[in-house]
Amino acid sequence: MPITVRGTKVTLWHTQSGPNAQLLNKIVLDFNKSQSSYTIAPEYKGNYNDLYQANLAAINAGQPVTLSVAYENQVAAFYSSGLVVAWDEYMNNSQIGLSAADKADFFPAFLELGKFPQFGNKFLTFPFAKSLELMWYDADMVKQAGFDKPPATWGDFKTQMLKINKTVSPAWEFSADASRFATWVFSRGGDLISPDGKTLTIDTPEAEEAMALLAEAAKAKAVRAPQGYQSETDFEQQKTVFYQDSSAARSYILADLKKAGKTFNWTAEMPPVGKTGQTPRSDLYGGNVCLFKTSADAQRGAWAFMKYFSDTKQTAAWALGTGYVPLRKSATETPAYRQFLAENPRNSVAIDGLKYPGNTGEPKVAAWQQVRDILQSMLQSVMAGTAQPKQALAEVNQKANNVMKTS
Amino acid sequence: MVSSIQTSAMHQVMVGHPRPLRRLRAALVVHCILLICGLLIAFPFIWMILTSFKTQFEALAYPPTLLPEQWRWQNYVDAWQLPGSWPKGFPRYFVNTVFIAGITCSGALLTSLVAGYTFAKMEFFGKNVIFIGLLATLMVPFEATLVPDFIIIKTFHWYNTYTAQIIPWIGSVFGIFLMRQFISTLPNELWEAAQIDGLGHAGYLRWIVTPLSLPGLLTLGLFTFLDSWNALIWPLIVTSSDEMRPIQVGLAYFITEEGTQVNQLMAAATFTIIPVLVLFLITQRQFIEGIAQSGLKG
Amino acid sequence: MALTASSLFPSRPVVSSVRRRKYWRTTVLAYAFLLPSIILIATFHLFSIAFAFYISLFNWKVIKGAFLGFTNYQVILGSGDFRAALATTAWYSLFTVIPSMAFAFFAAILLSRPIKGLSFYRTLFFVPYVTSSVAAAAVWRTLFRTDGIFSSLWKWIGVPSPQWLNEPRGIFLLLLQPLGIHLPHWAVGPSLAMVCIAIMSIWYSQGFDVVVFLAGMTSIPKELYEAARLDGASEWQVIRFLTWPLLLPTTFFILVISVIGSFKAFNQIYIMTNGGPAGTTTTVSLLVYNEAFRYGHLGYASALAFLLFGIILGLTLVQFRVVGRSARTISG
Repeated sequence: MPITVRGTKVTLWHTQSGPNAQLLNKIVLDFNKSQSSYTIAPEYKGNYNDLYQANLAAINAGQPVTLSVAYENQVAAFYSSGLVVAWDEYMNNSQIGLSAADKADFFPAFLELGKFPQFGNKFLTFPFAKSLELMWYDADMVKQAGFDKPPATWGDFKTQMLKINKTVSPAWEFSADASRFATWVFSRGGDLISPDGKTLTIDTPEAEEAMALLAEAAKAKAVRAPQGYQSETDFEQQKTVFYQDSSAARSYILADLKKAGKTFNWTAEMPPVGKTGQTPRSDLYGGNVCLFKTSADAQRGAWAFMKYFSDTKQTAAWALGTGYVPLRKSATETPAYRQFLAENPRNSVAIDGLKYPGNTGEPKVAAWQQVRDILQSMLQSVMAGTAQPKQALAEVNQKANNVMKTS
Repeated sequence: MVSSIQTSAMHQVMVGHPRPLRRLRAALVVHCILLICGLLIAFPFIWMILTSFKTQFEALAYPPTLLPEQWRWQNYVDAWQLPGSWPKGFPRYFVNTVFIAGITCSGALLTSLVAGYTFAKMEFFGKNVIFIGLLATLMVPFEATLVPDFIIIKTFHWYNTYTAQIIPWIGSVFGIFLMRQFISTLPNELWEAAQIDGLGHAGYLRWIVTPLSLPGLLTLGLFTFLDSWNALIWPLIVTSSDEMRPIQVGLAYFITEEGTQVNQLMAAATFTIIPVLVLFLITQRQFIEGIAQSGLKG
Repeated sequence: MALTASSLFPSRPVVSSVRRRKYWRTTVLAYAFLLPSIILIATFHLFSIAFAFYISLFNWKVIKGAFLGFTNYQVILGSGDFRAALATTAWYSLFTVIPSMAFAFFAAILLSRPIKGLSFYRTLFFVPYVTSSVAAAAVWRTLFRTDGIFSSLWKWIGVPSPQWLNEPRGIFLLLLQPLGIHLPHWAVGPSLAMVCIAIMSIWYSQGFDVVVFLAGMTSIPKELYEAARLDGASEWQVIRFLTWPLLLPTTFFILVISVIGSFKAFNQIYIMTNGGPAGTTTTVSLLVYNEAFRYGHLGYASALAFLLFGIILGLTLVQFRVVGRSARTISG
């Protein structure tokens, strides 16, 4: 991106490509024009793994960038090594920080997500490209099978799924990823880590219930976890009825169906809950930005940009253009967003879902990436029938906490 | 060996071409085998081209379609304009890649030819140790050396330059090994004859070995060019702006976090392959001429 | 005829003062010839390898931590994940290198004949290698996907389609189970997913092998073939007693490079399965990648890389010994 630098240059490393990158560049340009103290330079660094690689290289060469997109577990390790600074002193600064009204305007979960309990609740990761996991339904098929509404509890889900599987098989699809597991546990009211952020709790009753359901569905050949993004296309082509994915998938589904000229009644809901009456709860995920220790000036510039980026107008534009969720409630009240909701009423699900207080992210510990891989292997083994759910969970729990100790 | 060449030439004059019918049948069998194997091998490639004309929806449809329902040339336009790599995009990537690959390739050919000759035809102190030492550098996974390599680039202030994408790949162990193997097949009688004509190692290498190693050099040139053409992770790490980036970075844009745009990826992959295919055809013509000629040229 | 593998372990030069002077003169010249390569390789490869080794001795997570000595190595050698990954890597190497070389050898023999349309045929065989491995792997992933073209083919024949890249069970188990043969745990072989990746890799690397074989064959004097045919040698005898021995330096090159490549293979696995399903395609190089660039354990990853390096070096030296010896008997 050709940039004339005015003031301090602040580099931002990100993973956005395609139209998303175009939009991000536009927001950055607007910011650069709006003031003269800082110039933000966004740079695409490949996918999340590539970006993390670039960060490791830059850190070890002694020259990290100021702003970078990163996962929470990566930032936990950066912070332990004294590489990143907390956003608190900027966010809570009386002059340049967020006002009380601003804070009240943010969806509460986003102000919680950045806090790391093991580091005295320091706010280390500022939300950037967030989404939450939803359950997508083929409403026509559900109706055809004789159910008047999508399942509210996992028990209902099981009944519906197994019945529908007799006509559309497999009735349930997703990509086998630890985030699915997190959602199954969160939505049943469970958690994956102790409140002090020190012990992982993988083999809870909620997890056992979830894995038992998965094993049963696998045995009935009612569930499948194909590679990559196939589950999304399968859902679009009505090869499956229940499909779990990020709320950001919506724009892709809409675009694909439009291009193919295909219409059917589909909807997304918060994932089912454990028992009737429980509040819905889902997994919040996606990228955040962290602030590397560079220069006081660059760090201030970074904050100035994040404040601008998360402001109502920008966060609304970002959400509309990308399919991520907006960070502020007021963004959903802007004319553009209202119009969008009027045209696409189903989009309100993600927004309404964000208002539930229980939504949470996955454990923010350095070991989590490794544990995610262990969990993914377990999901695949259970689905292939080569592992017993209860026993597998106990093993994973032990492995995971060993990783915690050595990380 | 020299004598066997002479006798064979004599035989040929005396006997001529025997058994034309059997030859025809043999040629037919060869054609059949090559065609079937070749088409099977090319199938994924053909599939890629066909997919590049489908809609995203059709590209992932079940059951899969062979031919696109509609030939969407638009995919090529979309891919070429590459949303997000604003404002440069593929034209710039192409220029960068040709430049980087061209210089890397020439440099690597030169150093590999000289070093390969040295290992193949010269007896000197420490030869085996150095050769194994060089070969050993091929055996360390790139994951382990990526961070140290980056530190070197930063130390030299080569970040975000062409230099960082060229210089590290000019010294090529792979190239040295390949040239060593090719040059070592040249008969030692040639060297003895060259010495009688008053040539030293440098002259022998320049005037006799280089023209005779043409198949090897072409092969190496092709592979070095290909490696450079297909580099992704290294350029991504050592560059920051689209002005400096090569073609594979452009290709990587299509594999996004939220979903792979299969059809556009295939379109982009197709048009990035064409230049290398042309290069391959050019080198192949040289090979085929080499076969048509008698084996020992020069 | 110099067969190179043998020249690696040459007999000592006869010592006489004239010879010795010449030997040292040649040595000086040789180093002058090697200088550009050595400087470049030392700066950009040897130095980083030494640096990586240094990293492997520390508790280096993101940044340098406590000095550990060889503790990382000890931990790895005792780890089940490493042993599993090593077995996976060995299977992968076994399933790719030899099939791809054998196929390419015979393909190259056919492709070195003066027949019509040679350019066209050669292009067909080489096309896989031209494609970037990332794009090629992406194509193969769609071919192998559940409900993809292979699954459709299986269904069309009337056989239930296997799960391809999603199948963690061993290939021998899958083949023998229908016959009622039950295999012990250690004999199930690589997972079907791994076999699928191997198929893709054979497809990919035969393009490379064919080109190198062809270049080698181009160097063989055509007159030798004519002479052999006139002496009444059969097609097979020509291949066995002429082409094969004369191609030995080329074959040896391909073998060494392919074994090294197969032990370091990364791109296609990363794209097609990323180590899954259930970890059955996690090779050592994938483990190195995960430890370094997903978990941030740079020290541990470097130690892993050096253990892998040791194994590859050992294998390469064995190849030099074995092939070197047989080469000597042929040239002898």
